[in-house]
This record gives sequence, structure tokens and C-alpha cells, in this order.
Amino acid sequence: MKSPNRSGQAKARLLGLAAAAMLLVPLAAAPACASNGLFVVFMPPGTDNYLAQWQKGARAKAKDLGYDIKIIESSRDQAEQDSQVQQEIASGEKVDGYIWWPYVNAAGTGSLRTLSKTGVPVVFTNQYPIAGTEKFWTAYAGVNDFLNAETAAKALVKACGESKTVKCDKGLIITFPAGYSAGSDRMKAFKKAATGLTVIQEHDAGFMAQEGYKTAAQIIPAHKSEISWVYTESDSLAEGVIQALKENGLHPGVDVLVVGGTCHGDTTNLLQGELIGSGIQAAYLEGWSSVQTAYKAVKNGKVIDGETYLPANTDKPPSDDGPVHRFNFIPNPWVGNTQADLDAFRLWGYGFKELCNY
Amino acid sequence: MNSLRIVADRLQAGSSGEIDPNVAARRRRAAQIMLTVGAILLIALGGATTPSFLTFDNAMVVIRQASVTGIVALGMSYVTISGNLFALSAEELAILTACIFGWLMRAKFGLALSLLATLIFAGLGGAVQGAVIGLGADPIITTLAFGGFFRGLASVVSGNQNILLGTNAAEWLGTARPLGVPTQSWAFLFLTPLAWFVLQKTRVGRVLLLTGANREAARATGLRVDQAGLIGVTLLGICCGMAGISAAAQFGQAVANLFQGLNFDVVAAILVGGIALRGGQGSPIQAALGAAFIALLENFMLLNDLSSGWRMTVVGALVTLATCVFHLLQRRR
Amino acid sequence: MQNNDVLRMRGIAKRYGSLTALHGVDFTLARGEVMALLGENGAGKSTLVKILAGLERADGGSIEIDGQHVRLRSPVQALHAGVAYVTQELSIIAPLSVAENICLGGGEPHAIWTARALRARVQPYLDLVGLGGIDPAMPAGSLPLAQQQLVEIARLLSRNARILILDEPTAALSDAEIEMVKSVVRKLAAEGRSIIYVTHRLGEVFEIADRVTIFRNGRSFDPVPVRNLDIDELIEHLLGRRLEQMFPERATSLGPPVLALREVTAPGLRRPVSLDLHRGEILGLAGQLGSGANAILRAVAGVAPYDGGTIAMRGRTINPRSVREAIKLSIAYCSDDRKRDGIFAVRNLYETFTSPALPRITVGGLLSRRREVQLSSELASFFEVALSRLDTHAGKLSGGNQQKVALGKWLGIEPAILLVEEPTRGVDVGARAEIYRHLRKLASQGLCVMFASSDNQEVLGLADSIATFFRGRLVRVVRAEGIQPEELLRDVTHPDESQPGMAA
Repeated sequence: MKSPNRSGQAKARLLGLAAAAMLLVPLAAAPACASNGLFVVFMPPGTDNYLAQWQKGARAKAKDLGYDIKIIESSRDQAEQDSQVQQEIASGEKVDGYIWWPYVNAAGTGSLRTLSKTGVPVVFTNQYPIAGTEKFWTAYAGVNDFLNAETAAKALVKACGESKTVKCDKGLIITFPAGYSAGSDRMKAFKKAATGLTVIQEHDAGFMAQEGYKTAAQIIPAHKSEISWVYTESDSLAEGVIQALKENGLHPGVDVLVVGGTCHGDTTNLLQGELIGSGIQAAYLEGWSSVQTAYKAVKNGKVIDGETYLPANTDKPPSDDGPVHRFNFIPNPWVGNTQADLDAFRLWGYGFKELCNY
Repeated sequence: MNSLRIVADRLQAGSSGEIDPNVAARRRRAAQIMLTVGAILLIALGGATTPSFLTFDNAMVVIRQASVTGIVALGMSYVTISGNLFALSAEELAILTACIFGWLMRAKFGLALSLLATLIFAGLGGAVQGAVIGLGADPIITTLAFGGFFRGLASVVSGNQNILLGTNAAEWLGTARPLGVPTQSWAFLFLTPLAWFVLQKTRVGRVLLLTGANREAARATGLRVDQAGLIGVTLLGICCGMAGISAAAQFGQAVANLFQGLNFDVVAAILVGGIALRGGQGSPIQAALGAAFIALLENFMLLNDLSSGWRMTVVGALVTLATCVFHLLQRRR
Repeated sequence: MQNNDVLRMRGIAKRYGSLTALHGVDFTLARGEVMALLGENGAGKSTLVKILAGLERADGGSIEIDGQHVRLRSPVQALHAGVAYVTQELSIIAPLSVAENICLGGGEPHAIWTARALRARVQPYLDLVGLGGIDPAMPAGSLPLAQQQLVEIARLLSRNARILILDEPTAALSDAEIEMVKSVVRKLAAEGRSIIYVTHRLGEVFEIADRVTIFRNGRSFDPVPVRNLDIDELIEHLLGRRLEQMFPERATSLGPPVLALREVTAPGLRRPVSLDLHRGEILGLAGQLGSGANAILRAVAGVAPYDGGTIAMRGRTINPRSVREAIKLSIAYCSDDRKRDGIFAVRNLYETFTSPALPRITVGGLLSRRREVQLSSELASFFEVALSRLDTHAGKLSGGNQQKVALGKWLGIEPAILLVEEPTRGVDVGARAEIYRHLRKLASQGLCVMFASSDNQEVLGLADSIATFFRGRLVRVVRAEGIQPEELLRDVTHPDESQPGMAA
């Protein structure tokens, strides 16, 4: 720099660093007053919409059960999360159960093992556990990405069969970023279940509508004469794809059928028939059910091998009693694309708007 | 971003002893030649190998892709040319302005008022950083810290939810295509010559250029060097605001994790455009061409089905190459 | 002599783009001699020594050292061949000790250096450069600049340098320090090493060099033994024409006082100073580095505002706290480091010339190209800078032209007072005379000029009145005609306190 004042600059640098450091300090929630016990959650930061909703669900269920909950977010990497685990255990706090959402699944195995040695239940959530780590966790609670994509594939095949304007043949897949395991799980499951459909190109884009648009806008012109369907791994991505289709003179829902995955708050595309429907993957319920699973594991102690799908009751949430399974998946119901469909939708007492508000 | 810092230091250290003005001209020529030759090769290669590459539709796509990055790169070129390297808070400020615009629209302030308030806020967001840098703080560190602040604030404003604008009033800003060209591209095509004009033909621009060329001489000549830095970052802020508004308007929603990787894209446009990091040289047009070239390259790779990892690798390699070439030019006399 | 040549360079050519820096130059250097290199800026002497030091590659020609062909592609290769290059920008690392600096990069195969081993290793070289008395363990950064320069020379000697290139070694030094450097140079030559001494100071050539090689327009002349030359001949050689008069006529009459300093104290001054500057006058502040001469200029210019006494301009007290404020008062200031803050090296001359006077070329916030061209042409014409060069970058100009631009830009604000530090530092002889002439022309048009200089000849030749400074205080103020060179030299180096006529 051409600054004349070296020391002033150094000082300002320090100030800048200090400010940066303060902003990066993770905000850990302090436990409330006396209660039935304490659950500790390790997870990536809640600055992401999905994770923020997850936290809301988890806190609500913990309050409901009379438990304190402490959510420790790591904002940078697996190393940071590992050190958070070390510190939490070293604090000697009495904990009744841990909920584990690793920053990087494979790299977090060491910390998972450390947690398992404490002797209290460890509930794995959101990320599907890696084979070989079975000894280190008590139960899995959360989404089933395979189911999510399978549901979407079946809905697409069904819509293709019913459509009078499109004969489904070739199509595109737009996915989450490369390396994101939920994305590859969904793609595999979709391809397996989408019988009779040909994939021309599959491209990773990101999570947001902007990213979906950016990728789709570039691919679609080359293929606009042959595309009959598009699968995107979330409704947000789909929103961008729909815009790109329209810009290329294609009418989603008429010329091309678009199917997404995880629902989101903007129902415009759905109600205009541009999306054939939506899969309900509620972050709120995933957080909710993770805490419930931890609670059941503490109370019951017994874990049944195999997997279970929590019932997709419309108004009653699953009971707090009874044993847990090794895998406890939250339901992933499909909803159609009319206002009536949306209004009629209920899951565990929540409506579409409440569950897809991110 | 550490590596950027080091590169910047190196470039400056390389020039601190003897200033060789030949470098400036040679560098600009080299940048123009590299970009022109690169673009011609790429277009020829693309035309020969990729059927849909040389079409009007695809040209529009490339321009559209270059536009948002390009608009922010125009603003960033002011920061670089005024001698303050980069503001690494562009991405975060764009996110924050998108969220603020979304919030204002949702709260029914109306399109005109929301636009105005958002742009004013974006300018202020830039001005505050410019003021801190003007006090002698390191621009990279300062903007890095502000970036964290903006991102956090965006998270708070949005409550980590998708802010739905709840009205179509702003939609045309993000999706309309007057005469077949997207609004963002109109803005880009209009702002590029404007940015050039302001820098070359106005007194403010001259002060900015001279300050970037030699801060000490500018101060000794009685120019307001602190103002020059302030204006540079403020204009960048306004450009970020436009990017934010465009994104929020396009989908009628705003969320705190938009604009992934925008900072890198913008810095890449500056470097590939060949704007000298030590300031006082170069033109916003170079930044615009840098952005356009990268968009063209990305498009070519996407159409050839290269994965995002490969695309990132190639663009990163291009930036490295550009940096090395300009650095070598700077050393050779 | 032929067999005694340690270095022979033949037909060295170098082009930079369209500019030919060297047209096949020959150069020889004998063992144990001090060879002065003289030439105006751009004559090619710097290019030649850079080629020899491995910093530049020649486009043609051959280099022999001790009769062996050598290729000098990098400073490391040059040093390996025995060539060492000492510039004004030293490579001393301030926090390291003197001994460590000397051994730095030496690559001696020792696993561990103890302090004692280091000391023993470096002592001979320190003795050689006349620093035998200093403690090798002290941090090099704590030494004065001249001694740092000597440490650097010691370092190069320890790497067995037999050909030393000293590039303007005395430019930034005080008189006493210059003496030290000179004596080391003589000693090294007596030891059988050869020294290439690049300088602008003609006086030094006679004091130190055995022979002198003169460069002009990219060509070199055969070396001339110094004892066969006198200074007029030397100047004639340099310029290729006889320089009738370096300095212009003095002012015939002075106007009323414009600037009055009364008991002024300021950073860099140890005693209060009182001075008057008249309309049309050139006042020379003579003094070595740190004498306080520059402090006066900086106080008036608002760079280092004064803290006691008064400064009045046309009867009104002024107190500029910054350069901006001084400019508003029509006071212009050129520092002694024009590269740092005098010119915009990477911008063209239009922009540099008009930089202080942007309001004059602006109409409603927009720059008027017409006014810009008009103003910069006016200023360029006044200072005799070719109009065809207005389009080139300021940094491309020779030192003399750069100084003309650095000075000339201030005319745009129509200043009443022009303050100049070291008006001709690093400027070749030809351009020097021009700058003196221009300053005189300005003064005769009613401007007040106050300059500070450590070059006594310059002060004597240019100024109407002379104020001499020594160690932060004003020694005396005299009319230029009333002082002999010897008196001036004594004032600025070791004034006799008891002499009458001294300021308190």
C-alpha cells in the first residue's frame, strides 16, 4: 500500500481482524432453567434457511418434552466442529443425548466415535450415516433422500401418462452442487424409478433459483426442440429452470413437465401448473423428529433393527412413546398443483404453508 | 483470499522501486491482445465443435450471464483503479441489498420507493467501507470484515427465510426483455460506457485515477485522496445494489445465500481484464470485457457438459495465467 | 595497460522498443582503478552498469572478465563473476545484525554459526570498509545510512567482489558521510579492486576517480585520465557543447516582502527562525540533510505545520495545516522526492500538468479537453517540454524533464510562492541550467521562490539571498554576492559560533 502511516495501517488491520473474529464467533444457545434434561446438537450454521427451520422444529419439540436443548453450530469446517465436540465433552456438562449433523460426513467420524464413548444416545440426522460407523450411533432420524427422489420420479411418470400435450421422452436433470451427498443419492434414486425416460444431460447447479436459472438458461437453447421433462432436486432450482424454459418459448406444464423435490415457500409455479406437484420435505419436522427420537432412545433404551417410516398422519404427530428403530424416516408425501390440493394438505397438524415456509 | 492478498503484495512490491510506465501500455495491450485472441479462438473452437454455440439465443445467454457479474465488476474496477485493490464484500452487500429490497417490497413500500431506498442503502454500505479504508485501513481486511457483517445482517433481515416480494411489480426488472435483450444486459451495456465516461471525462473520475496512480502525489497536489477511495467503494456499493435488486426481482424472492462465488467471479473479471492491481491504470471497459470473456468460456464448457469442478478449475487456471502474465510483464523492462 | 584490464565490454547494444539505449558501446576497466561514469540522464550509463550487474540483458556485444568470456544473465551470475552492484536502494535487512547482514546469502557450509565465529568471519571486511570500530552484533538498521551502505559493500566484498559498481553512492549522504565513502573507495582501489563510480557530481570525479568514461546519446567516449581534465572541459565533454553559463542573471531589484517568518518554530528546527521573502526574489536555504532548511519549506507548505511564532503572507498571518490549505493560499511546494509525490508516473503529461488545477479545466463537473490541452500546452511551453511529449507517461521522461513537469504543474494554480526542495537532485547538467533559467524567469515575473538545497554551488549560483542552516538552526542570511564559496561551506558544515553577523 502507499499509505504513509504504517503503524496506523497495522492498527486498522488488527481492528478489522478483531471485527471479523467477533462476527465469526458461533452463537451457542444458553440452556434455560431446571428441566428434565439436556440434548446437545452439533450442526452446520443456521444461517441457511433449511437449517434455521430445522432448529425451530427441534427447539419446539424439546420445549414440548420439557428438555433443554443446546445447539452448537459450526460455521467453517469439520475441524471446527471436531473442536466443538472436544470442548463440549471437556466441559463435563450432564447431557442426556447428542444429535449429530456432521459438517463433512466422512471426516466427522472421529468426533462421532468420541460422542459414542460418552454412553448416552447419539442420534444421527439429515446426512445418511456412512457404512462402518454403525457402532457409533444409536439411531438415524430424518429425511430419506432416496424416497424423496423416488416420489418425484413416480409423480413425473404418472403426470406423463396423464398429459395430453407432452409425450415424455428426453429430459434434463439439474442437481445440487457436485459432492453434496443428498444430491447424488436423489439422482440415483430418480434415475432408477423414472422408467421409460431418457436423460440427455445432467448438470449440477446449486441450491438457489438463480443457480438453477444460470445453468438451465445455457443448456436449454441447445436442447429446446427435444426436451419433454426436467427433474430438479428442489423446487427452488425448478423455479429458475421454469424461467429459463419460458424465456426459450417453452411452456412448463404444457410443452415440458417440470418436477422438483423439496418444497419451498413460493407457490406461484405450483398454482400456475408449471410444476406438476411438490414433495413435502419439512425441515421443521426433521428437527422435531430428531429430538423426539433422542427422547425415545433415552426413555426406552431399546433400539429395533431396521427402518421405519413415521406415519404420515394428517393431524396427529407420532407418539412420544414406544421404541425407536435404527432408521426413523420422516414422511415425504406428494402434493398436487392446485389450490385445493394445497389447502387440503395436512401433515402432523401442519399445513403446506407452515411446512414449506423457507 | 489470502492468496489474492499475496499476489497483490507481490505486484506492488514489484513496482515499488522503479516505476516503469512502459508496463502500463504494454500491459493494456497484452490484456487486449490476450482477450481478443482468446475470444476469437474460443468462438472458432465453439463454433466448430458445439452445434448450438454460434446462435443468437446462445449469444443472448452469454450476455445475460456476463451482465450481473459485469455490473459489479464495473464498480470493482473503480475500487481497483483508485488504488484500493478489491472490496471482498461485494457478494455480501449484493445479498444484503437483495434481502432489503425484498423486505421493502413485501412491506408494501412500492416499487419506486423500494428501489430508491435500496440503492441509497447500497451506496451507504459502500461509503462506510470507503470511509474506513480512507482512514488508512487495509482494504482487503476491512472489506472482508464488512462482508461478514453484511452476510450476518442479511441473515437477520431475512430471518433465514425466503423473503417473498408478494407482488409482481418488480418482476419486469429481473425478467423483461425489451427488444429481445434482458434488462440486466441493457443495464450492463448502458453502464459500461457510462463508467468509462465518468472515469475519463469527469473531475471526480480524474481525481480517482490520479489517486490510484500515486496517492502521495495526489495528496501533495491537494487532491481529496480520501474522497477518491470513498467514491470508488460507494459506486461499487450501488452496483452491488443493482445486482441484488435484479436477483430479487427475477424470482420475486430474496434469500441470504444468493450470489454464491460472486466475489471470485468479479475479481476474476478484473484480473482477466488486465487491470493493474496497483491502481491508476486501466478502464472499466477492461473489467466488462473480462466478465464477458469468462461468461463465454463458462458457456462453452457448460455446453460441452464439463462438470462444475472442471469449470471452476479452468476459470481458476485462467485467472492464474492472467495474473502470471501481467506479473511477468511488470518485471521485464 | 592492455594486460591490466580486468573488464572488457565490446559492442554492447541495447534497445527498448523503438528507443536505442546503447549503440554498440565499448568499455574497459583496469585493475585497481576508480573509473567515473558520467553522462546526462538517458545517455546510457545506467543501462551499461545494469547489463554488467546482470539486471538487463544486452541485445549484442561481449563481456570479458579477466580475459574470460562471461554470460551475465542474473545478479547471482554477475556476483559469481565478481561483479557487485550497490544502488541507493540498499538490501540491508534492518532487524538483522551487521554480521548477519554481511553473511546473508553467502551459503557458507557451516551448520551453526556462533556469534564469535560470525564476528571473526566478518571483521576483515568491516575493517576493509572502515567500520572496524562498530559492533558486528548491533542491528544494521540502527546505523546511519552511509554506514549501512558500507555494510552492504562489506557484504559484497565478502562474496569476493572484484568489480564494484557504485551507483550515485553519495546522493543521499551528508558531507562527512561522503568523505567516509570516498576514503573507502580509495582504499579498495589501492587493494587492487576496480570501482565503477556513477555520479552526477562533477566535483567528486576530480577528488576520487583515476579515469572518466563519458556517455552521450547511447555512445561512450574513450576513457580520459582525470588529471588531464578541468571542470569546464568535463562539462563540455558531457554536453558536447561549451556551457557558457550555468546560472542566469540575478534579480536586479526586489519587490516588497510577501512572506515574513517571525520566530517560527517547527518540527525539525531547534531554534526559532525569522526570514523575509520578497516579490521577485529567489531565496536559497543552504544546508545539509537535517539542517532545518527543508523544515522551513515544509512549515510554510503545511506539510509539517509550525507550532510557534508567526508566518505572515502580505501582512496577514497564515497557518496552513495541510497541503490543501497552502494551495488555497497560492503556496506551491515541490518535495525533494519527485518520484514519490511530484509526478504521476503512469499517467500522461496532460494529466500531470493539470492535476493541481483541476477546477480550471472543469466545466460543470466535466473535464474540458480543450482547456486541458490549452493549460498543459501553456505550462509545457513555459518549461520547454516538447508538446509532442504531452501524450507520454510522466515516468518515461528523463529526470530533468520529470523535474520540469513536477515544477511546471504548479503554475496552473498561479502561485504567489513557490517552495522547492533540492530543485535539481538527480537532474543532468543540461537540464539543470534550464531549470535554473525557468525559476529565474518565474521570479522575474513576480513570483517568490524559496528553495532548499544541499548543493552549495547551486545555492551560490541561483539565489538572490542565501540563508544558511546548520543542525536545526539558521546561521545567517546574506545577499548572494556577499558570500564566498568557502564561507558558505563553513556555514553549512561547522559554523563558527562567535563570528559576528550570526543569527541568535
